[in-house]
Amino acid sequence: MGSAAVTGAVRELAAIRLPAVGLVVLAIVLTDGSDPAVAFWWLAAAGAAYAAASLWLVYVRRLSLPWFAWLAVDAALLAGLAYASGGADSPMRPLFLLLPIAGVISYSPAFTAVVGAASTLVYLVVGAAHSAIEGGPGAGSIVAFAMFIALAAIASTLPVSAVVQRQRRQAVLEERAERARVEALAEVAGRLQSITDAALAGVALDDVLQEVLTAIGDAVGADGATVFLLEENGTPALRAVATKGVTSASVGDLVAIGDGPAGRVAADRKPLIATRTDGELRSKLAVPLAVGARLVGVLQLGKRAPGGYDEADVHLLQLAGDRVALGIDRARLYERERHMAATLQRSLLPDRLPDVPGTQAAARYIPAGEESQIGGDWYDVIDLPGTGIGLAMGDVVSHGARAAAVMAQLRSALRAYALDHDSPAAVLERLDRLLRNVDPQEMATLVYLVLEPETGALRYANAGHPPPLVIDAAGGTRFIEGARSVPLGAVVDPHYDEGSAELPPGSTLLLYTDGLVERRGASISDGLARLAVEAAKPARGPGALCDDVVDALLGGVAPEDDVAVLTVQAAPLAPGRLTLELPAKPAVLPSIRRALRQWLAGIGASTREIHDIQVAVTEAAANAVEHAYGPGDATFGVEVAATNGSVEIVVRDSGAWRDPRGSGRGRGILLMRALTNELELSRGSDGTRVRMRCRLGARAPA
Amino acid sequence: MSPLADAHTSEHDGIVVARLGGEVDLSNADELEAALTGAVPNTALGLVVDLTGTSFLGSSGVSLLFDLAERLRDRQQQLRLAVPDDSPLWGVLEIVDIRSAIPVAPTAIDAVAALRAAVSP
Repeated sequence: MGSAAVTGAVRELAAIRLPAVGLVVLAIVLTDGSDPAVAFWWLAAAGAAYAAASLWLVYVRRLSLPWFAWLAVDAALLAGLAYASGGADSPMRPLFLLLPIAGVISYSPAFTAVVGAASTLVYLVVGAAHSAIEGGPGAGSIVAFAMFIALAAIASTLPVSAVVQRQRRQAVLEERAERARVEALAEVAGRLQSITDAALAGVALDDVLQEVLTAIGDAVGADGATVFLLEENGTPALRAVATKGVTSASVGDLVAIGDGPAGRVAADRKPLIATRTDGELRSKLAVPLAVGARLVGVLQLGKRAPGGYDEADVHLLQLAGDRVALGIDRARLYERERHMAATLQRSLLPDRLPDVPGTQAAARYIPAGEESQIGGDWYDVIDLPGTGIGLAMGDVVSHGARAAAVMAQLRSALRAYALDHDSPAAVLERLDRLLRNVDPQEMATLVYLVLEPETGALRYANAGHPPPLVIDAAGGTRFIEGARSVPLGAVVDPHYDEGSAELPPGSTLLLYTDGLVERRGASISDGLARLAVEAAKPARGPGALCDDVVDALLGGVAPEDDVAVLTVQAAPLAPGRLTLELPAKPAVLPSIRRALRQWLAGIGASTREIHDIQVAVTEAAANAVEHAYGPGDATFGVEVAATNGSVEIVVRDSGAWRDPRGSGRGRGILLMRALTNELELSRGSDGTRVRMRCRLGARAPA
Repeated sequence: MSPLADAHTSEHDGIVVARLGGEVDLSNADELEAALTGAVPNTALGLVVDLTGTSFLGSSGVSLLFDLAERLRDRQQQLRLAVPDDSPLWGVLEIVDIRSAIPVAPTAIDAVAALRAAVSP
C-alpha cells in the first residue's frame, strides 16, 4: 500500500469520527448537570439518526420499485401527515407541516439549506415565545438541541457516504486492471498477426512464437512459457518449438501425449491448472491450441509461486491460445504452399542441359530472397534433331504456386511445339493461344531461339522478353533487339515476327529474366547497360560467365524477384577444317554460306573467292538436298579443309545421284566446274560424293 | 515469305520494277518466281529486276531469271536486269552468259529507259 493510500484512509477515518466525537462532546457539555433522562433522550435521538440514515441511504433509497409505487408511498405519507397534523386537540400541530413542504419543494442543496435555516428560525421564535407565555425550555435549550440534531445528521450520513466512495474507488481500480488485461490481450493478438505476416515474409515460425510467448507471458503473468506443437509426421507426441524464461522443456524436446500437464491437455483437449510441491515451477497453466476440432499443439505457462493461476487466467490464456493456433495454422499452410511452389518450380527446370555438339551451355536459377516471391521464371534447352537446338527463357507474370503451374504447362507445350514447328514465331503464336486457353488472366514473356550449332545461325521471336545478349569472342556485346512483340496472353491474336541473327564461333549467347536487370530505384536501361559492361569482360566459359554476371548484377544479395540466366557458347572453329553435318533441307543452304564465309575469311580468302566458293558449295549442297528421299531426317555432310594455298571441299550424301533434269538444273554443275579448279563427282551405291578444290590467291579460270 | 530474300515491286508508266534483296537459292527461288510473275500484269510493257541489293544468286536464281524471261517473252513483254558493275553476282552471271538471253544495265533507271526505248514505236 502506498503512502498516499495510507493518508487517504486516515483522512477518511478522521472525517467520519470528527462529527461523531463532536456530537458526544456537545451532548456531555450541554446536558451536564441536567436531568440524565434528557442526556439519554438526546443520545437516543442521535443513535436513531445514525440508524435511519444508514438504512435509508443504503437500502430504502435503492429499493427498485416502479415509479407508481413510489408515487403511492409518497401520497400515503402526505395523507397520513395531513391527517396527523389536522387534529383539533393541539394548535401546534400544523407547524409540523413546514418540513415536509420544504422537502417537497427543495431541489438543490443550497435551497434546502435556506429552507432548513428559515424553518429553524421560525420554530425557534415560536418555541421561545411559547415558553415565555406558558413556561418550558428557554431559547438557549432549543438552539442547543437544534445544533445537536444538525451535528447528528452530519455524523450519521458520513459513514455511509465514506463506504460508497470506497466502493466506487475499488470499482475504478478494478476497471483499470481489466482494461490493462484487455490491452495486453490486444497486444497478444497483434503479435499473433505477426506470425502470419512473418510467415509471409519467410521468417521462421519458431522465432515469431518466441515473441508471442513474451507477449502472452506479460498479459497473463508467467515466469516461463512454452509452445508445444503436435508432430506433423503422425507421431502422437508434442515437440517444444519455443520457450521463454524458466521452463521444464527445452526447444526440440518431445513430450508423449498424456505425459505431464502439456501431454494431458493434448489428450483431453481441455485447459489444466497444475500445482506441484517441488521443482522450480510450482504452478502451471496449459491450454490446448486447436483450430476447430483439430489439435495443433499446447500452450503452457508456469509460475514459481504455488497457486499462481485461477479460472480468469484460464479464460484469458485460452482466448490467446485460440488465436495462436489460428496463426500457426495459417503460417504452416503458407509454408506448405511455398514449399510446394518451390519444389514444383525446381522440378520443372532442367537438371542438366542436353549435350549438343558444337555448343557449351550453362544455366543458373536464383530464387527470390523472400520465398513468397517464387515466380514463374523458366528456361529450357531443347535438342531439335535435324534443325539444331531450341533455347527458351520465359517469365510468367504472377508468382507462387499458380505461376509455377502455368509455367509447367507452357514448358511442356513449348517442347511439343518446338519439335513440330521450325519457325520460332509460329511456336510463340501457338503458346499464346494455349496460355489464353489455360489461364486467361495470366501473361508471360518469352524469348525463343533456334540455333544451328554448325553455322551459328539464330532464328528467334520475342514475346515481350528482355533482349538476349550476344558476346563475341573478342568481348564485344550486342543486344538482339529485333522481332519483339507483346507478351503471351496480353492481347487477342497477337502477331509474332521472326528475326535472324548470328552466333559466330567462339561467341556466347546470354538469356536472362528481368530479375537480373531490374532493381528498385534504377531504370531497366541502366540494368541492361550494366549487364553489357559485365558480360563484355574477357572470354570465359559459359558457367563462369553465368556466375560472374549474377555476382556483379545482384551484388551477392538475394534478388527481389527470381532470376534465371542461360548462356550458350558456340565452340570456336577447329583450325584448318570446317565440318558440317546438316539435315537435307533447302533451308540449311544459307547457313552453309554463313559458315563458309566465316571460315574462309578466317583463313584469309578474298571477298570474291568467298563468294565463288559459296556458289560452288551451294550448288553441290542443293544437289544433295534434292537427292534426299523419304523421311525428312536424311542428312548430308560438308567438309572444308585448307591445304597448300587451296581449299578442298567435300560434299557427300547418302542418296542416289539423279542426272540433272531440264536445262536449268544443268547449270549447277556448270557453275561448280567454272568456279573451282578441280571437280570430281563420284557416285556409288552408298551415295554421292562431290570433291572440289579452289586455289586461293589466283583467280579461277572462268 | 522467307526472311532470306525480299522482293519490292513498283510500277512506272507500264514498266514494273522489282527490287530483289537478300539471297536467292533453292530454298526460295520458286517462291520468288511466283511473286515476280504475279507482280507483272498483262497490260505492263515489261519488268526490270533490280539485283543491286542481291547478295547471292545460285543456279536456282539463274534459272528463275531465264524462266522469267521466257514467260514474259510468251506474253510479248520484256525482261531487263539491273546489275551494278561491281556486283559479286557477276562471276555467276558471266559463267551462264546472262547477256545472251537478258539485256543488263548497271542501274534500274538505265534499265527502265532502255526498255522504254525498245518498246516505243
